[in-house]
Amino acid sequence: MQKSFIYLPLLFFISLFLVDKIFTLDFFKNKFLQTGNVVYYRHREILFEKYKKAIPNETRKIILAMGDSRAYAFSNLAFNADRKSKYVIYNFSAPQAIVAYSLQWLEKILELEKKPNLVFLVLSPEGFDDQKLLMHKPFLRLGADSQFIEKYWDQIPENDKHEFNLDRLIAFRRIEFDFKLLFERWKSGRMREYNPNFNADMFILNLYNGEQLAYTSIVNDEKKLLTDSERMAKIYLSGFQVHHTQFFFLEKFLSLAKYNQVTVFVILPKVYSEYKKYWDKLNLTEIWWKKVVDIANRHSAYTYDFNTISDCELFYDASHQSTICYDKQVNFLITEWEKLSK
Amino acid sequence: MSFLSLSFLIFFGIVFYIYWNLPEKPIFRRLFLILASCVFYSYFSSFFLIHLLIVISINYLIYKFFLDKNLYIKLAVIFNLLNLFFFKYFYFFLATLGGILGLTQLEQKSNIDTFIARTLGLSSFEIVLPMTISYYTFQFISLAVDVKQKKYPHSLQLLDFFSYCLFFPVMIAGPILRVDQILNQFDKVNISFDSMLDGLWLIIRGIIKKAILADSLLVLVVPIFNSPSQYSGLALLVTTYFFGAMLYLDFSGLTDLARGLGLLLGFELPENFKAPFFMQSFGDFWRRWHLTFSYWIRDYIYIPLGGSRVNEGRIYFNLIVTFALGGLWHGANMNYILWGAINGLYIAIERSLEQRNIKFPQFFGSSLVHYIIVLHLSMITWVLFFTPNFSTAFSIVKKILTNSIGLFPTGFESGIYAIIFTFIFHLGEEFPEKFKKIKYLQKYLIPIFSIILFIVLVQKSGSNIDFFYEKF
Repeated sequence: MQKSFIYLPLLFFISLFLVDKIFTLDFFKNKFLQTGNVVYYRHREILFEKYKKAIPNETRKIILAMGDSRAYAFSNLAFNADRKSKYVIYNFSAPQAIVAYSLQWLEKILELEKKPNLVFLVLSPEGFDDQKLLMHKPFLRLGADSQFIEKYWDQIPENDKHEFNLDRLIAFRRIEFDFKLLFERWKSGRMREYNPNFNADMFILNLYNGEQLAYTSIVNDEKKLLTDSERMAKIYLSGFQVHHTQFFFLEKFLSLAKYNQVTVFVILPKVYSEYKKYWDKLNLTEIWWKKVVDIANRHSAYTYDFNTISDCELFYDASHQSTICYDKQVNFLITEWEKLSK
Repeated sequence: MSFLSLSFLIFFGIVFYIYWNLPEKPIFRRLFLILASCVFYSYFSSFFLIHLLIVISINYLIYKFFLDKNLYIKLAVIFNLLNLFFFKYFYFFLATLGGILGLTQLEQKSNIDTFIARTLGLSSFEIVLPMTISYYTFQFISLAVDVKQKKYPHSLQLLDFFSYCLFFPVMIAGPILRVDQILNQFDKVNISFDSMLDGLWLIIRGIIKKAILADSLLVLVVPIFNSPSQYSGLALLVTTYFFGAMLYLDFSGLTDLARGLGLLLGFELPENFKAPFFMQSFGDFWRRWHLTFSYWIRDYIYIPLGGSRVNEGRIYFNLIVTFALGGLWHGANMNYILWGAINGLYIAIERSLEQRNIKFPQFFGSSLVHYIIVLHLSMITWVLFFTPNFSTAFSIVKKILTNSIGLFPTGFESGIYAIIFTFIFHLGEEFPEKFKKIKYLQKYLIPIFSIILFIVLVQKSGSNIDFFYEKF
């Protein structure tokens, strides 16, 4: 039976597949900046270049802030003039960043001649649940480089690998093309914002050393925070399980830091009390934080749970304290470090 | 593996081209389909694939050794219902028992799991619902009845049992097949250019219904039904319309996909929807909605209970029981039972009025008023279908009926568009002959829609929202 017509769909998909490869062009990586996560992940590459140039002549002690969006506000701006003359913070945190992303930057930074002195590693339990596929998106999709992926391929959960392979197969997936944004930018004559050099978000991140201070609120909107707690819990904590993957990267991170004599402060950021109740319901202190503390102790790192330390009750949303709270926290951590250094 | 994932596209592409390049002998394609369906099912769970293979084999053994005995149907029904009961109703049964006996420990799933785990010396225990169990249970029961009653006069081999159950296009959520609808087709599968276009068209229609329209309604429905106390009666009423449309788009989209995939493999599968919201009565609604299910409960519950051959009171009882059991089939929850029973009650009342020749008052626009009443009673009853418990459902209905004040969310535009499309799809189902005229456009529209849907699905992949009916 001659059924050559059945190959028409195949031909169609092959053509589509070939057209899709247009999206592998460098243009889409370097000159096609949309909004949201991609801005941060792209910026961190630019920040690294800036860091490489600045560090050889840096006389101040170098501090790195790493972790997810709860680390955005670790900034030099929290310091008084005296501390500003002694310390400099580079912020390599990124939205929904898992420990593997922090490890990737630490490995790159430690390859440079001059080592950092201190790392604030901000951890969130949500990132330790492999089911949420945070390894794939945003890390593997936006932040991971090929060497890192190759080196740690065996540690990547199967589902993330599967999604990542689909990304490799269909380049258009990686772009996360936002038609609405395209239309809005086109309509308002802001097409040049696709170019990182003319992008307002990128400009803000480039102002200093990667910190983002927009999560500022001076008064809590309790109703919004309550709804937000529910929303966050539904997204990140439904069916929550702690998996081993990120603990592996945490071990790697801390042992590498220890080997290079870099002090690490492992930080659990403070979240809104109603959201914290969801953590408590899952007994996260027992099943997750205790394990983090144990690993940190083994690698001579220090742990700080700001849910118990911080008295600042201002929140931008259920899972982010207001930027205002960070001034005190950064200085608290520096004081702790100064005490340890004596 | 969701039908709307890239993984499935690749899986189906491979299956499709191997399938049509196999030697012409039907046995090869048949065996290959079984194998492909096993791969498809194992993507959900390898353990449950083994379980399914055992269930199929036991059904075959019951058939082989008991077909000639009076016991056959009873044995097949008991075995399949026990299998379904264990996986689907175990916790519900214990919770209900606990409620009756005042044993609160039985009402907590975690208590039961811990107890069983401890008794069996396991680190943990949980009963998980296997995919498609409700659907294949219905299929095996209908098979037993149909072969016993000689509605399917041919003798069956083990391979027939496997082919009947392991047919991946219907393994997510039906349509629920009868033995004569599928087994006869294996020996004459064929594909033509036109049937391929029809198949692709159905698939595209299914994807549009589900991935674009139903999902855009879901994001409107979920936050409102999850926090009904904040919203006004009017907002909740509008949400029930959205929910009805979402359920139709979601489930008929899935049926379109299954039927389209079936056509591409050379099979014609039964339709499940025929413009349900164009109904003229409650009874008419069930002759248009989830047809393979409605006909199943009619043929295998309602008629065996006596159907319409008994006295009037018993007929109404049969209707309510049939629909209540149909509700229970959807899930182990009192809401589903109540939803079913209320639907049965509507039909019983309607029938009673018809018997007494009591008609809806005739006046200008009376048909419209009658339609609005039927539609609203149906829509409001759907609330039970979505809400987790009776009290939430009751609070929503109360707010709707009292038109209580509260928030009225913005951003309903996408819902309005989805309802307009629902109307258009209904026109297509109600007046198919009118839409045949545009069939010649299919070959031009299919590539255009494919590109659009490819872009949409590629973006959505990894975050696909499950089909609502998958969980049943």
